Amino acid sequence: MYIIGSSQTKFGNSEAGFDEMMYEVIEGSLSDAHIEPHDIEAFILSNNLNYYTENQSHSSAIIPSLLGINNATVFSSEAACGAAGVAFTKACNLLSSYDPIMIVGVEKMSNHSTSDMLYFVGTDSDRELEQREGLIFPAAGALIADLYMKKYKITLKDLALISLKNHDNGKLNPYAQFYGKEVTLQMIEESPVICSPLRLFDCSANSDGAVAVIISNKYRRKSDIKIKATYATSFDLATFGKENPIDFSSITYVAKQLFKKAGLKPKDIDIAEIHDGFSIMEMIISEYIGFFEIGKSKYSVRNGETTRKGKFPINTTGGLKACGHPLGASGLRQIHDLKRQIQGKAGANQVENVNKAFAFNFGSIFKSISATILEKNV
Amino acid sequence: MYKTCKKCKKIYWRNVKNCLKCKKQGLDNTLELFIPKKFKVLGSTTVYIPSKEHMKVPYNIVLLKDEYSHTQIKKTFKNLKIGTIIYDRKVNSNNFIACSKVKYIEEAGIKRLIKLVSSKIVRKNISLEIDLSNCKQKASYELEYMMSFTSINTIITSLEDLKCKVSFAENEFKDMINIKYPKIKNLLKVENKGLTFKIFSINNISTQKQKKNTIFFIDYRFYKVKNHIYKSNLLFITSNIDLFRKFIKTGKVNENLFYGEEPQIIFEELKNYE
Repeated sequence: MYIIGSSQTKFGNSEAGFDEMMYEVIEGSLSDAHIEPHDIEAFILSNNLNYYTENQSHSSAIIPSLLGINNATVFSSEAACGAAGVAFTKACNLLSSYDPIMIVGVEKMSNHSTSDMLYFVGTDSDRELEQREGLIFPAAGALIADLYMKKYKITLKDLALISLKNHDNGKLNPYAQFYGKEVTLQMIEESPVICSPLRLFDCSANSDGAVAVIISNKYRRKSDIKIKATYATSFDLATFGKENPIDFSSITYVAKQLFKKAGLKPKDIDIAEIHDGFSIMEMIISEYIGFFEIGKSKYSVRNGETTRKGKFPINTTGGLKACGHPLGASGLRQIHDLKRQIQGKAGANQVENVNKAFAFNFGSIFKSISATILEKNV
Repeated sequence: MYKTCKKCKKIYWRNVKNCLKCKKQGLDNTLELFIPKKFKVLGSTTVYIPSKEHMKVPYNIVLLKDEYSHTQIKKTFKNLKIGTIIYDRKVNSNNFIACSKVKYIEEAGIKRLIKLVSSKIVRKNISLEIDLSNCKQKASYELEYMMSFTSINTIITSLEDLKCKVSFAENEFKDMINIKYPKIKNLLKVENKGLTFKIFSINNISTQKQKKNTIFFIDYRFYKVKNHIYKSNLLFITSNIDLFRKFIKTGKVNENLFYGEEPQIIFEELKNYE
């Protein structure tokens, strides 16, 4: 399986509407793949909140409307913030029936107030157990951070360093919400507390954005990127309930399945895109995947190992933190950015000699998880 | 409150009638209801940003571990330190008021109330006689006077979840819509043993001397609550926040530990009121 084309809009508050963003990336990815709309045998739309934000459900059917195609095969994927990653894995599994497939991830979030958006996004959590108790996602992240930091003696400065590193990368990425914006350690440390202990700069920002990726079983051009392996699975919806609230074995399970499929080990990976919806998540995920020992990634963060020029770069284009987090598009943005890195087209964010790249995307708190390994075609 | 399958030990945090894992074996009584009473605070966060359903900030969310080693979260306006042990004594009260604020869906409020008083219902093995004379098909112009079929259905199905047997004229109860002449009084019975409770909607409460064991189901649309009603067991649903505050100010109801001054759920004894 190969990625034969991809495209993304600039993330952030956009004047473009849902349809316009979608159209932009569909056209962009077709152009990147050098194919026409009628060449695509199936589309998958990844979106989370359009029912609330645009009063529009069945959004997948907008795709044929935009392209003026009848009889288009269109599927949709909805898995909270993990929708795009799940859509990508789904597309890979459908390639035996449809080839090529375009996956489109879109989210429009800037047209509602923060309190509304927190409520809309909150519908991705368990209605009875969590929503009614006011457990908005930053609060869930904060509770996990509170326990994890205490157990492994992680400091607020460690979290700030993760945020700083991602902002340093995002500042250079023209597609990132925080492109060209200088964010300092002091700004992060002095930012207001959102849900203790997490501060504003520990949380990814609501963002408008779209990404499209086209995949195929057929190798066409040198720039095509190999999909070495992809895997997705889901776990119980409620964040809390089990005896150990910071047992993240679900992450390890997915990573094991993925590396087994790929015939690789974590040490074989050159760079990673980790779903840093909250700064603590980058730490937890990278540890439970096996990139670092559990409880020990703080040392790598402090030593700068995960920076763009470090030993193991993570979120080289800014992550969710600095790129922005349009829910239904973020997982595809990770894939698109890794593709650019492998192709050597990541501009100022380029990391040298990237051969194998890893993406990890999740919906709710580690509930719908997908992970993918991309490889340079040699 | 959660259910555990006695056979395969699977825990259900959601509302299921039979164990989904063992259902093929036809076991009706696989599920055991757990109502934890002792909680330890494991972690907490203070939320400073309002969201549409939780506009009053800051509030705290605590992560609790119960005596069965399961964890759950609760919203509270109180500052509970990590390690604090909380006992939920209220479930043993003889008289109670249970209230739920309903913003969007009335049925959700009813379910929540039944959950709150579930321990009482399970322990007392109550029998309910439900007066159907006030139940009508839902229609907007009737809402101020009648309890809707949907409401009564929700009450009954929630009670069935607590293993109460519901019958209508000695037949198994299915739903209100299928009952041909719902105005016949007291034909619908939710049976177990022991005490007898009755569920009425507010407009049927006319006498000053109501039975102690009556559960009054009071609809949120009725704002004039007579004093004698407070002396009885009360299930109360409202969307009116001022009315909640009025309840608190009367001194008849104390603040719930988990909800503090934001009166979302109130559940307390009435012994001081008598």
